[in-house]
Amino acid sequence: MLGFGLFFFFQVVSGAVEQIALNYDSSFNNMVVNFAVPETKINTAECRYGNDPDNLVNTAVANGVTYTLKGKTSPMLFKATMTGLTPGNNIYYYSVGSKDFGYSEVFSFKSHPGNAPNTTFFLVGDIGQTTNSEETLNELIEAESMLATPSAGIVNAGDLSYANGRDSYWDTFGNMKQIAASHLPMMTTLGNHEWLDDLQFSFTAYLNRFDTPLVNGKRELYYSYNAGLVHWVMVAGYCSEMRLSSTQPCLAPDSPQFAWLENDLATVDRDVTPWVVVVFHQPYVNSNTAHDMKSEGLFSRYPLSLFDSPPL
Amino acid sequence: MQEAIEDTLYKYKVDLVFSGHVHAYERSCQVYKYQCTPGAPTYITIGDGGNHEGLATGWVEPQPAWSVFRQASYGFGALQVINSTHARWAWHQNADLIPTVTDDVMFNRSPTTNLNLRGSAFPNKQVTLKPIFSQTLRGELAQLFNQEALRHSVRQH
Repeated sequence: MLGFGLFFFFQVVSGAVEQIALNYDSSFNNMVVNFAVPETKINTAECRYGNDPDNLVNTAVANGVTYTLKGKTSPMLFKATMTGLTPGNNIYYYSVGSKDFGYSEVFSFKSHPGNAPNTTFFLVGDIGQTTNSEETLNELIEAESMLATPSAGIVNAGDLSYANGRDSYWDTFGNMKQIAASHLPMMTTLGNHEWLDDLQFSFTAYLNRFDTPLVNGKRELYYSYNAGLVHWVMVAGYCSEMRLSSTQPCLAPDSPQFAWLENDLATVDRDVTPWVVVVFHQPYVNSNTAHDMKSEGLFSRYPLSLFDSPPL
Repeated sequence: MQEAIEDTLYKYKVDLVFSGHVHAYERSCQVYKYQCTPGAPTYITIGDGGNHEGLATGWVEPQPAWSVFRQASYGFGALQVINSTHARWAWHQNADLIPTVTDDVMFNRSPTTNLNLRGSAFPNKQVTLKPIFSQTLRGELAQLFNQEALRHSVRQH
């Protein structure tokens, strides 16, 4: 396992359907599944699901989109929402695909735990795609499988694929993380390597490849959700305005995100979710010399390099 | 980021803050403006997932009082929220597919207790002062794995 020089180990998936990943949306009765199909123009597929792996009686429509960056078009990126699930970590099974390009194998997952006590969350950050990344996910999967108490998937604190504008890295990352994300929902926030992902500061790859719960019916870079006894607040430390700023514009006092954050924190029902946990990518309470905790300005001390991590 | 958000998180009594970015693991006391403060959030850096840039092995010395536990190794964390007051946090250090918990702490959010400080003034706190490798094969493997990881890491970020 100590093959540190070998990058991009990933599970090869049979058939055309790949990069299968789950996430929660704002309903305890739902589970979202994302997947990709390369080199197709067909943008309709489906997710079959149910509690009997041999008889997937329910169907959710999957709609596909592509995006084009630097003349290169992404695979068809599908999203389907499984609805009507019974919360409480009940086991369900699903398969995604279509008659046109075939179906994936059948995967299992646990439904949303609801507000159950004793729920466990798994935390990862800066995962990338190396043999170490794979080791982290494998150990996490093993730890989750040994739980006798409820679980609520993975929380990812950002810096996902380290694509840095190389769009194919998102595909290899999607296939690597499938070992975990095909059965443990992964909730993401974005890091500087997502901010820089397409060199346009528009988060195109991130927004198209990762689904997150909506904020007042809209897709934003930030969101919150409930699971177990926890209200999770996923803050975006990066935004497109950052390109032109030497301070933190994403959370400026008059920014939409800051208004949302204050309101979100002020309205948490702590009888339901007594714990409030906030996630953002760049820490300020940290004593590592890699990112000095005292560096306040974004570009004031370091030149901006597109392939480096801007300190903040 | 600190200027933008720290007061708000403190005001609304946020319990925990998770971040990445730094490729190492670190856990603070309940801290506000770099002072251990009851009722303030506990900050955890969990940027040790394993990306190609390697581990961040340089630390500010001496270790600040608010920094309870820090180590540059690959791994992940598990937060089990037990009830309205208690949650168990376990940082798992990668050890060749053997689950190994290196930092293990019980958070208590009831208002009268627990800064999660390190040091002998708080002997009853369930806080690990430095990496504990148990005298088992599992512990020895964790140590070996960590040394190997450090040898191969590049100090860039």
